[in-house]
Amino acid sequence: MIELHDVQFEYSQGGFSLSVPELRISSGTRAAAIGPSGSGKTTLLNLISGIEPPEAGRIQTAGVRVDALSAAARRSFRITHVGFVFQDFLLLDYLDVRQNILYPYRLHPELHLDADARTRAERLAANLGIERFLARRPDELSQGERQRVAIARALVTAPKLVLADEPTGNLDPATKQHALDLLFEQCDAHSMTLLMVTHDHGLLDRFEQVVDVSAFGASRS
Amino acid sequence: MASESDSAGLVKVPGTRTCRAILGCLLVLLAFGCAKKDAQRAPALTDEGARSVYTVNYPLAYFTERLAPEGIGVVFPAPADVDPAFWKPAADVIGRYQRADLILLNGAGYARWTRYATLPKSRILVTADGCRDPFLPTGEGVIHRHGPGGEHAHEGTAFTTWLDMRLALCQARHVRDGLVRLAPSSRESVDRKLEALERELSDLDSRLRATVKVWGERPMLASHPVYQYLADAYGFQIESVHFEPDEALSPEAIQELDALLADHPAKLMLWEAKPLPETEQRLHDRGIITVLFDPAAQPPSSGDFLTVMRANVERLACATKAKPCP
Amino acid sequence: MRDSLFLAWRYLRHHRAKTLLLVLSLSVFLGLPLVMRAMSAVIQESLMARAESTPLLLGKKGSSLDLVVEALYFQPKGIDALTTADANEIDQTGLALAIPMRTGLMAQQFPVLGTSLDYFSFRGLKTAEGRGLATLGECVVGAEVAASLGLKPGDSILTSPSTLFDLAGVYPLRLQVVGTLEPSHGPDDRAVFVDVKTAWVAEGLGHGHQDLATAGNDVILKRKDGTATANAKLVQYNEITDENAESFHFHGDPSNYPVSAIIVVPNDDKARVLLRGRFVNDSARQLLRPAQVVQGLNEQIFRFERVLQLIVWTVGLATALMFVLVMVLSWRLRSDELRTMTRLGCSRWKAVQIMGAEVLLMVGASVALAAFFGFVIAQFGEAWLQNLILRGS
Repeated sequence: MIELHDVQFEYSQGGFSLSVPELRISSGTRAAAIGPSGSGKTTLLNLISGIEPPEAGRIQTAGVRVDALSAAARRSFRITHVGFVFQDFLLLDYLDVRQNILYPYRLHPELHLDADARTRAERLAANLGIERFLARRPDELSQGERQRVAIARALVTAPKLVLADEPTGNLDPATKQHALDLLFEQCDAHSMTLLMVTHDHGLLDRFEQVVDVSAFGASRS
Repeated sequence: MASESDSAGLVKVPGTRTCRAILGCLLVLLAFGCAKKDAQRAPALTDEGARSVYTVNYPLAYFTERLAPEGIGVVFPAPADVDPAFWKPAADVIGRYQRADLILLNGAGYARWTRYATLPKSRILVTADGCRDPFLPTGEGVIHRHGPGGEHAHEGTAFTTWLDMRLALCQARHVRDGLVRLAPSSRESVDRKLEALERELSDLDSRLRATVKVWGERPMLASHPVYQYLADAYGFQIESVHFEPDEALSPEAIQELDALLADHPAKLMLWEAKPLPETEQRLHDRGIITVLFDPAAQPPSSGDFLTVMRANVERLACATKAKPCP
Repeated sequence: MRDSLFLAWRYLRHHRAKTLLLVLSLSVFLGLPLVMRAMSAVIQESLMARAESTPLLLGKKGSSLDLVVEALYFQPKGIDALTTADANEIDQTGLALAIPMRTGLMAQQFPVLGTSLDYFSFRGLKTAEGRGLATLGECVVGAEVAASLGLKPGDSILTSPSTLFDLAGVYPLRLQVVGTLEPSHGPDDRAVFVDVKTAWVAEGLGHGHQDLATAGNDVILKRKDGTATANAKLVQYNEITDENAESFHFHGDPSNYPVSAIIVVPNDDKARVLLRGRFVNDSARQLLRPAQVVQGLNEQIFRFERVLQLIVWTVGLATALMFVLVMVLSWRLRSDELRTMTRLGCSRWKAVQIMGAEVLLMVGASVALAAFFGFVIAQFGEAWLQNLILRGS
């Protein structure tokens, strides 16, 4: 599913560079990315999803040479193949839960907001236990409920890969566990590959693969 | 109606030849009258031609009918049983006046309703305006004061101006002016008609002057204060009361009469309509001759304004012995 | 585009206070200059139409603008009065029709115009309900008066008292409504019409009271030598009816009775010239062409409007810049949202589309609101604005 080979990356404004000699994550794997702050975890996610192109090297995600795509193609790839769960959820207060879940469909012409998409959204909401909040706005929900909305949004396009950047960082332990259970459950149910950035080493035993980003070459200038 | 000869105190018994002559004359007069009808018919008081002239009394309607050219209708809508001076027309009648092409008012305060009615000023012609200044007072009314404005009198103005034949003529001339304004192309024919009317009114004027020459300043009475202009123009010394012709004299009225006679020993009394026989008798008992002098504010049942005035003048001349009675 | 509009609409709806403020500001910026221009043109046209339909106006010497404003638009300006003699003088020339006008009275908030029947035919005023004036004490009301006060034939309306606290002041006169007029889309719609004699009664120059000749002694202070002095119990009528109409009377010479202005309708051009010549050296009166006077007023309005337009455009530009600033700052504050959009795969063009949709919706709403306000002002504001101009003239 994910293959990186001799990848070199540096931010154009300078300050940080990352070097990934080799990384493989199989399809359907539940993987965690760990490392200290500033080690390049988010950068790794950006490279894998095509948000940032590498300076050199090869990145293959879900069978697609992401490094060889144009910016537009990378966007297209991202919206159709990758689902994102963010630490701060980044839900939109002016949309209700249903519309937040369906948000990705509003952003790209390749995705069609049809009856199937709406059905998928409602099913995900039901599976995540938030179906009764569909008409509410995010600021009316608890942290845990908002996280579940974010998960639903990430999964609504049926991506092959889910990238989660510390999705449980703001949750209390009980809610954290519950959120993870739901995330894993959904990924497993739909055979999605999960790569999750986490600082919580107590969760690592729940993952099949742990990627230590600090082992890659990262430098700050 | 008692014969006029009775009231004049003269009795005549005509002979057969005389009767035939009179009948013949009457027939001639009838024929002549019929022939003249077209020119001197009583005003068609409900005719409204292409243009209409509304008047507030019969004399003006008569003058207008006499002078009006073709195409102008004359309307005097007051009911026959109402004194036009005190008539209160309904709003719809006032509306008809408003729509008239020419509204002839008498002037001198005649027709009280015109004081508070809304009439189009541009189409009003006050026929007596400029004929006399000032108009005569009725000699009635209470001087009073209320509020800070000081004294003022709600005394009336005498308005039967047409009883002075010269004023009547002046009014007729104003009627002519109004008609010429309406129909400028008919000026000549209107002027010709006016000349004829002028002659007739002047004749009446002369006869009244002749009457007063004989009568002099001997006092007269009048049943109502409606003869001011007649008195003023011709010098008749008339004092007025308020006696109704169709009502018997009350004791108060007789008292008033006697009191008046004490200062004003009249031997002749003018009435607008024939009084009751008992009234005539009471007057006769006091040596007073009653003389019918119809102001002709309303159309007569027969004849017209001039025939009425001629008859008035004849009766007065007869009663004053200014000329022999017929 | 539909998705962009959807997201834009949802955002604007959620932040309705900010949206409303921006939309209102924009609508004022967009609409005001256009409305001003349109209104100005309409007012100038309607003012001018009224003035041009009045050939000549005779009044006391003084401010010609005040005379025109009071006589044509019924705005009280306190002009000095002529007399009926002046109207008679015009009539007697045979050169023109004189239509007297007595202004200054009010009935509730509407001006009362005392005039003659000729005024109605001159202005082409037609009766909608009822009939025209026939007698003293009657009134005919303009279309707006009828609609505003719910008046119809058979109703009545009181003139406003001349003074509230002056016990010797003139008390209100109850006028009988006998007719309502069809709309004429001018000042006549907002007027109450009476016979000029009724106006005189309403202002206390004529009155009706019990007949002192027959009145009881309780209203007589003293009688002596044919003179009766009434006391304060004398009933003076504040309404003219069929029963008491004849008791109403005026004292003094009617030719001295006041007339605020006289509309002079010359028979022809020659008559107009002759009449103007007669008054050119008159020290006490002025005979003027209302159109000429209103043209001067229109020029002032036009000059004022140009200055106002400049101010409005300047303020509008500032408003537009503020709008842009608010939008830019707003998107800065939504940088997280932009970042999320990008990460989720949204193109820069799509992001611009979404931002543009917000601007489009707000501008669209502003245009619609400006159009609506313009329509409302055009429908109802002309009279108000005309009053404002005439009151301040």
